[in-house]
Amino acid sequence: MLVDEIPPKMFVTCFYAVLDPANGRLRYANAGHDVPYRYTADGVVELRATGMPLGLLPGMMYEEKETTLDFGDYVLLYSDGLVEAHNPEREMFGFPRLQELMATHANGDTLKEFLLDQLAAFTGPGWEQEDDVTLVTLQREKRLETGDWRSTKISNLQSLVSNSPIEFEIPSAPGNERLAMARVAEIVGDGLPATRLEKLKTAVAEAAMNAMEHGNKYDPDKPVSVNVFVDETAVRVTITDEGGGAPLKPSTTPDLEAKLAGEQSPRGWGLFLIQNMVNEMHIRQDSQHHTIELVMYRTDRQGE
Amino acid sequence: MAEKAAFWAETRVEGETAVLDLHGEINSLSDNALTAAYDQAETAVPHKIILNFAAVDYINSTGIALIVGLLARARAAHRPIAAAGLSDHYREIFTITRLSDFMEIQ
Repeated sequence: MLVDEIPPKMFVTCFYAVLDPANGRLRYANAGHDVPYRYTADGVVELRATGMPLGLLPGMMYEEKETTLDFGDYVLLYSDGLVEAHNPEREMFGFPRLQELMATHANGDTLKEFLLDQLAAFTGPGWEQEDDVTLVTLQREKRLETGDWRSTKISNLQSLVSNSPIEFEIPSAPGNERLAMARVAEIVGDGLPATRLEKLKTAVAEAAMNAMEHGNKYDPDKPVSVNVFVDETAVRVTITDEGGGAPLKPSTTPDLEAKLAGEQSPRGWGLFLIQNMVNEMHIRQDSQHHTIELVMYRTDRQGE
Repeated sequence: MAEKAAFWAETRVEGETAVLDLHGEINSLSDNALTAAYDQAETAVPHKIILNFAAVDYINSTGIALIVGLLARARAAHRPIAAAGLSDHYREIFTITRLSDFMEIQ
């Protein structure tokens, strides 16, 4: 489409990525944009995928790549105004310098300010900006070990509201749903009224138990991933297992009379309970994962 | 690290009523202890059984299933069964699951 409309010798670069925040998986393609960098504990690597800029030639195909961000990794997306900036000696800022600077900076949250300071020091005072300088960082929070939980309490909900989701994992073992429940309660704190927090805790426990038992078959090598995100209106919790492929059974209202008469198993309350505890429940799955998203509105007015 | 489930139950008889004082968390690991306590209560041939949840801090869906099982046994024996000491939260869960339609909530 763009090829037909774009003026001759003009083109558009584009880096397109889809991130699954539940597990850090990042799928991406690149149409001639400056190659993004990924910071890892082992060094800074390129997120390289082959593709021509948009609008140059019709019918182009684009390579699609995939990677998984580890806990603590971050990705920098940037425009060429940074790497093509010049200092008074007409040296270019360049890719190697950017890569080296990133290697010294483990915190994606403060990377933008750090790079802009470095750019200002490089160009010197009175620099006339040559092109746009756009920086976007994407960081996967460091994993919280279970033993660290009590020392990482978030007492100020406002700091949570404005930041990225908090993610943690629990090993798949009977009884560990209480760890998930306790951790979510600690994160949410006073972000929900007490009665609503109790309901969310029950929903989290049931979803985590489902994930560990049915999704991961209590395999200790398959943790359950939990994401907690608080915004102005709701608390959202996603719980992901590694048991994709087989669809989750839809929630139905258990027939208590039939259970009491011995005509049905007394079990089968999990999804029913979850649905009745939270304002919204969404189930997603792919070939490898199930994810249950629980949404609890922060005030009664929004949902009840 | 998994927290070990902790549950225990004590049975006492008051007149024609047997009271099961339940403690801790009711989940799949509570099955044997809960069943044993109920068995013991039945030996007194009570007219009524009360499940006292005042010292219970967690009931999951498997625990609900265990309570359904006890309720089924009580109904089969035409023996009224009641729940006491539930927190507001679990009182609501007993309502949602309709357990409260089949057992008195005290």
